[in-house]
Amino acid sequence: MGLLKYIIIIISLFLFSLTPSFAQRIISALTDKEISIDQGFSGDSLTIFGNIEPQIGAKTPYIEGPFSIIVTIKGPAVNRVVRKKNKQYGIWLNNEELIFENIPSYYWLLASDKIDDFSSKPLDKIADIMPQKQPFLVKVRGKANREIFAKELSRLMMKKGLFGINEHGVKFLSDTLFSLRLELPSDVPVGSYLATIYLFKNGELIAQKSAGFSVRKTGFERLLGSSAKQYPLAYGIITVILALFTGWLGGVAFRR
Amino acid sequence: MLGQAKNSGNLQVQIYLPIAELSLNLFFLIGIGGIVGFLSGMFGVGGGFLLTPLLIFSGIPAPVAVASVTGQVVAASTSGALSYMRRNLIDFHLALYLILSGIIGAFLGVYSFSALRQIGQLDLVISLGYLIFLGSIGIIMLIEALRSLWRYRGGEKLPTKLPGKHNWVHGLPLRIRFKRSNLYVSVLPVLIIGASIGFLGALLGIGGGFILVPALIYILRVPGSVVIGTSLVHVLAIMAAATILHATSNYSVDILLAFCLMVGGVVGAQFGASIGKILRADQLRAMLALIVLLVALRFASSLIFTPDDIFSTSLITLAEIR
Repeated sequence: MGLLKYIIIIISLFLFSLTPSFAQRIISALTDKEISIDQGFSGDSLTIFGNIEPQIGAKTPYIEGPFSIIVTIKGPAVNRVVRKKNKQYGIWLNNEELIFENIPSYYWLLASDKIDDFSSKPLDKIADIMPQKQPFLVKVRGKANREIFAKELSRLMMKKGLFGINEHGVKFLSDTLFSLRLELPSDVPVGSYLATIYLFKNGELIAQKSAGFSVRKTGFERLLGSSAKQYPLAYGIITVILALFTGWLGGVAFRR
Repeated sequence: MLGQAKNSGNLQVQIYLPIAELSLNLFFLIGIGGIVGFLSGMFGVGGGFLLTPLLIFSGIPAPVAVASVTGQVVAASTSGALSYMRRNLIDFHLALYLILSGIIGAFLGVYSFSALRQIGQLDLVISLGYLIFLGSIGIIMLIEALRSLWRYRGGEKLPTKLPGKHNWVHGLPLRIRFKRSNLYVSVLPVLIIGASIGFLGALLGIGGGFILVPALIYILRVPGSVVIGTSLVHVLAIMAAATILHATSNYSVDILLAFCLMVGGVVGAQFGASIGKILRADQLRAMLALIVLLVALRFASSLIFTPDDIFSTSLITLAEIR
């Protein structure tokens, strides 16, 4: 809670970045453009504000609200392996696996209404943006049953809090002003994130807007994380020296 | 479970672990380091065999737990080794042979660790390894300790030297005289013991003191006075080598995690060592045997009983997919 920052940074005002046929545009702002992971990091939250405005110079007439909104937040792509344990030789061991390539490391869907309330026409579109669907959309390697393993992967990701749906996650503050709050767990993947806002009216997609933010390790955590990869030998030696010193210091301090 | 990643205790001091990529309660980490350090100081073992499972059961990925505990064991053994060195209770000549072979073992251990991780069988091998080694060593130790406790109760004076000082091991070729231990034995069993402990230590994230001490006593007949000091020096050297090997080949050493455990462990070990001096060796062995057996049982149950979730997922890098 305390980490929630209310400093609004307008991250983009590209007036004509939208498809011109839309009669409205979405202006959005994020509380943080960058989430920093430092020593005390135990998860964070991020608030996105948005406003629906008439598109300047649009040929089609402006549509009045109320609107429905779906927002997807996608983390950096990773490869994940799903393993299944079976009982063999009397013990439980992993003996089936399937690798999913370029799956989102984080994927949340927030909506202003129940997903069922979005009418049938955009549902095909929505079906693809549902978190559960993500493991089905990527390339797999392995012989295991894709149907079952993809379902299990989305279940496991939801259990970890890395995938999820919040059907009332988008709140309308007025007819056109809305906000949504995103919870990032302490093990949130590091990298670039993309939030995409879809605006619906009577089940029709009438506008779309994307905004990016990033999750980075900063300061000491970043130094440790990067040196472990870049200078592994020095990192290992320093760990050992630290251990020897700590052990020696303990011996000296407690010597009676 | 113990100290979940998303903690909800009263002491909300979270520390973010940069390699494990999650945050844990700082007091939980120092606390388990302290308790395990206390036991390790008391029994003269590294304590890794307790710490690694505790971390794994707390949600830290097994590769990070194993590699970081190797660093912690270095610190835990340093204070002990120094204390034994001051009292001149180390056979450095014997330790040198054990260490040289041990480093080769550690190298093979870390290599197997990476290979098993890639094929997804690391957790299984860790569980099986703990079960087999802790189970068998625990049973042997318990029987031995109970026997000697029984004799003590009966008023029988304990022999200062183990009966049958010479066994078949002492008949092997390439004999070397270890003055400090008052031994004249073949170098082969020494090297095999050193290498095996190094291998298991690096693979399972254990110092191996609880295997090494009985091996030195029962196989090589090293006198009880120098056994713990010598084993601590071996554990220290092998775990230092394994830490560097894990850091360079798996990038899985979390220095902050290791440091928190070290601080707790070093402090705990000092108190443990004082208690250890008060208790008799056979009492200590009986207690250690029981703890070892409990950990073995915990792993046995994870292999035998139906797991909560038969599916699991982990990140995999492109290099691992190939």
